[in-house]
Amino acid sequence: MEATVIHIERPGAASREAIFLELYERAFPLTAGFVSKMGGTLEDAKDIFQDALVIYYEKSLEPLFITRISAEAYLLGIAKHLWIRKFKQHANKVPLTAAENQISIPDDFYANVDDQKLLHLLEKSGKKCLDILKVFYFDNLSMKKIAKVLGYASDRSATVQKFKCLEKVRDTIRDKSLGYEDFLT
Amino acid sequence: MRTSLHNIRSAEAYLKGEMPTEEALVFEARLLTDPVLRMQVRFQQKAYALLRLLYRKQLKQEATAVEEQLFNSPDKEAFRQQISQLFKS
Repeated sequence: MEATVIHIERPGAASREAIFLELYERAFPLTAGFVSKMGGTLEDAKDIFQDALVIYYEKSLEPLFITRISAEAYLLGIAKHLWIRKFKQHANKVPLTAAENQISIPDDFYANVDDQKLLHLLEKSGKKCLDILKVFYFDNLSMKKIAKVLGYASDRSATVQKFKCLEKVRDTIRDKSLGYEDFLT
Repeated sequence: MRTSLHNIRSAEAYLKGEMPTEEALVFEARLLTDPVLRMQVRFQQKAYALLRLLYRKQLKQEATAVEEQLFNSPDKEAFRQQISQLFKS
C-alpha cells in the first residue's frame, strides 16, 4: 500500500470536518473489516474508530510525527490496540505487524472517574474560558491569529486573558480537589 | 502583569521546558522552598491535562457528526453498502 500522508497544516473546526470525512471514507472500511472478523458489531467498529480518529489526529499534529505507513493502516493499527484494550484480549489473538507494534495509545486517553467529575465541574463553571484556552493550546494558531479570532486588540491583551483563564481553571480544580491526597504529597 | 499571573506564566514556561536553563534552576529552587507555589504548579499541570481531555471530547463530537453524515446522507449510499457487507453473518 502506498503511503499517503494527509498534511494537516492549519487545523480548525472547519478544515477538520473535511479531514475527518476523508479519513472516515478511506479508513473506516478497513477498521470495520477487522472488527467484524473479531466478532464485533458495527456499533463496536464505530466506537473504536472514533477514538482511533481522535488519537490519530492528535498524533499527526505532533511536530515530529513521521510514519511510513498510510493513514488507513495507521488508523487500523490504533484500532487494533484499542480493541485489545477494550476486550482485554491477549495480544496474541490479535496479530500486530512490526509497524503496528510501534503505535502507542496515550496513557491518559481514557479519563478516570475523578477527572470526569472535575471536567464536568469545569464545564459548569464557565465555558468561555475553556474555549479560549482550547484555542490557545490546541488550535496551533499564531498569537496574532489567536488575538484576532478571539477579538482582542493586541497579542498582549490576549495573553493576559489566557493566563487569567488558566488561573481560574487552576483555582477551580484546587477548590474541588481539596481532600485528594495525591495533591498533598 | 500582576504577580500571580507572572507566576503562572513562569510555571507554564517551566513545565513546557521553554525556560532558559538558568531561569529554570531559579524556578526549581523556588519550588523547593515555596509550598504554595509548588501546589499551584501541580494544579496547573492538572489543568493542562484536563484541557486536553476537554479538547479530545470536542474532537470526538466532531467525529460523531461526520459519522452521522456518512451514515445518513443520500449520496453516501455506496459507502454504507460496502460497510453493511462486512457485517452480514
